[in-house]
Amino acid sequence: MSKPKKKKAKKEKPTVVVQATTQDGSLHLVGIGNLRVIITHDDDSWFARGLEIDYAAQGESLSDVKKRFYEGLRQTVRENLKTYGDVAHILKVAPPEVWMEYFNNAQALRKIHSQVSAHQIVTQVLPADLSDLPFEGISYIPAAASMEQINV
Amino acid sequence: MSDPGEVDRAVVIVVLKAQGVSVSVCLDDSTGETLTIAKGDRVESQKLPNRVRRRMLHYLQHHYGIPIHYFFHPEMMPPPSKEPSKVTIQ
Repeated sequence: MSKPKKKKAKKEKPTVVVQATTQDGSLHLVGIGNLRVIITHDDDSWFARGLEIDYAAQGESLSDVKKRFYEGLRQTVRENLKTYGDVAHILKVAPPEVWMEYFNNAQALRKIHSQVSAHQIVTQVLPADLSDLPFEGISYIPAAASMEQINV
Repeated sequence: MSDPGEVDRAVVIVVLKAQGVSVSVCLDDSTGETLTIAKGDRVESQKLPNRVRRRMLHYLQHHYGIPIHYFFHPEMMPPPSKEPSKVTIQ
């Protein structure tokens, strides 16, 4: 009699975040892979929250919350690239109660989220010499009411 | 009667701003209204629905340190201080 085959435990892939930037810093490619997301719903509202990256979105249906999560995270990556030049500040895990719910809430959906996005960040540099600006100065024009007071 | 566990998006924006969180609204034809929310070193984009539910409020509370009851009762927020904040240099 043959031995029953042991079921191999499904090995979870680690979450990865990669960023590639061109030498001049104007173009960024950011990939997020295997991010665990818990999706819950009550009544007509859906809520998605990342575990390894603490980002959340609320939507009106499952497809809507997935779309908002993807789009919101993509925009968050963009804002961080504009502000800091990298995505280090978004790499913060969700608080323990969210992890507890991920493992204990039988009704919640558990999803693996991955996305890749390209971002062109244009940084405008002001001329070092302000005389290069096409303005000679600021002219102050008194408001009509003030003019009346001046004339009185 | 509306669910007491949800709050208007406009109220959420008012409370965030009153608590020192920077909120800017960006209108885009393709993606609709997107909020850019920032405080300290955290910057994020959110597309909030018209009615914001309790789970999202808890999320905002966690990240921006806003007492959750302010969202439900904005009148409980302390009035903004007229005096400039004091900085002590040691």
